[in-house]
Amino acid sequence: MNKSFQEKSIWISLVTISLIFGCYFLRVFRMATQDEMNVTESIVLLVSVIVMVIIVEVVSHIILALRTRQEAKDERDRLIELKATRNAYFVLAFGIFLPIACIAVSVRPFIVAHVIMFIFVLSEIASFLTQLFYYRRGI
Amino acid sequence: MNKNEITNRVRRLRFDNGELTQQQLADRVGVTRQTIIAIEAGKYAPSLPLAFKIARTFGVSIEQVFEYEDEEIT
Repeated sequence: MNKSFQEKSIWISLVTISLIFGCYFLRVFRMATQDEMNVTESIVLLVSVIVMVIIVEVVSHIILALRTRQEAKDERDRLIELKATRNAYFVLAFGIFLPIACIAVSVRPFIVAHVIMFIFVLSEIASFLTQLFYYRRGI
Repeated sequence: MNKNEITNRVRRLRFDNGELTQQQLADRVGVTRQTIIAIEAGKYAPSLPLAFKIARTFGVSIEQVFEYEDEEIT
């Protein structure tokens, strides 16, 4: 079965976010474990990561739009999107206990902020994976 | 366990109607070609309005396109 524009777009976002934020969180984790936390440096790093994600997403979607027939979302796309949003919400709802636990054991605010960010990225990945699953398996 | 399935004759009807392509049918009923592929493969049960649109495109009743099977599996 050929992949639709929507499905290809989700693959691009999944790979982009997983790779770029994966590297970012690894770097932050290393900084935290080696006690080299530098707030200014990590803010600069975070801004550059966000800019990089935007650039990669925009460029790859322009290339995708030029190479693939672009179609508007239909009822099946919207239904899959709804199921994906539900799963992302579950990840977010359960994941939010992690930063709360961090605060309870007096983890530094800088780390707590990154845990929250990690949960957001994880929920986004859950959304992408759910969509890809339903596009392949059927709904 | 109850297994509910909707089967369809979309592929057959496309060929009976001047070998209508999946893309042509998709354009006529306002969905993507992938949705038509999913319907034909039994991977997606369309909404009632879409089912009616497909049936009207072929000029038949909805029961002539879609069939509901309520199968009891033990």
